[in-house]
Amino acid sequence: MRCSRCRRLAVINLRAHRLALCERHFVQRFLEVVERAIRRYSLMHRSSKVLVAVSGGKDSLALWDALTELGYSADGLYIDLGIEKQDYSRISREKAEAFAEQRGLRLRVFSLKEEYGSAMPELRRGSRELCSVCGIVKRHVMNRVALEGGYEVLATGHNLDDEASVLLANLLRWNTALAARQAPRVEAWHEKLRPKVKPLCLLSERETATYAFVRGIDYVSELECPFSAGATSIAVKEALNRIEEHSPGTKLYFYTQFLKHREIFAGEEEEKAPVRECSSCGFPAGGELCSFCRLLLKSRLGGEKGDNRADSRVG
Amino acid sequence: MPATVKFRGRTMEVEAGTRVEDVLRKMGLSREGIIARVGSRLVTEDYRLRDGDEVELISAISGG
Repeated sequence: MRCSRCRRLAVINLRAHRLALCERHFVQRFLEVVERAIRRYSLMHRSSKVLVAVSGGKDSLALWDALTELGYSADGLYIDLGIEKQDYSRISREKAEAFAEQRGLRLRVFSLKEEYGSAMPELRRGSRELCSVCGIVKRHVMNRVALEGGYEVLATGHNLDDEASVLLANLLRWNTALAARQAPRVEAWHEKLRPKVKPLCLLSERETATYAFVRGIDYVSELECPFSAGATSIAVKEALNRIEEHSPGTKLYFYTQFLKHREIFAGEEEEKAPVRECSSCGFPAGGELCSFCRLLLKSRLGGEKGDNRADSRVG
Repeated sequence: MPATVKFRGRTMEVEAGTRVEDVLRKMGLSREGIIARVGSRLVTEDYRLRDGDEVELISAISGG
């Protein structure tokens, strides 16, 4: 197959766009689409100080690379979750560090174990919703580092497949409250929080994998988080890909039309409890403690059998 | 000499002349979730495998 623009050998066939592209034209288009998403959804300004959450995977490293190529001032944040199974955290951290070093970029590393004495395996103890526990931890750390480092925006590597699959999963359960909150830019609802943006939301997972490969990004490819095995999100993505196989462009249409008609879900958001400050860490909370500090407390109590006293030093 | 296809630690032999999309179909994989590499370059799904080609199929799907 030949590049639709220059007739060189193509590296990707984008059936949704009836477009085959060579390396050079694919990279050019990828950057154009990132910039388009930033402008179309008012994700950030050219001068914004951005903190990119990087996991060592293809999406977050591709995002960091693309933002840097486009001239944005972006530092990286790697959250070391302390997952020893399959050497997951060590390998992921090494990939993120090597990427930053090769490109002369600043990477902030935040180790849960060093900061709080508890790593992910302890924090998730007793919880069935492992991915949501991880989400609570990451959101807390991202906001904390962004606040302390003076960053204006938090960027994550969520791609079109991530967004379309979350949307489908929410609609399959008629979880309209969650659907109402889904957006390429999620505004901060408290002065200590930062807006979260998803500049890859118009690019498929196959496009980010291709970009990472073509740009020579060494990412964690064969290894998945050991706690995400059998995750529902993967099953939903595979189902969407089967539909996409039959009708190219469905994922993009599904997601972008949702964004266009999002107002039909307006008013469906769950009312937030009056905002208080967590008595332990000072971040916004619905109760005495924020979700993160509650996890931390639970993990510490879990290590002291028979002792259910609250630890006032949490956080 | 047939071509070899690697995917998630497994290796299989494929007859030269087979297209990448045929290999994916045979393995029950969607072309929307895979990129294919031959040597140091990526190939599109219409690429016909040649004798001695070593093809690596890389999953683009991640989750959690």
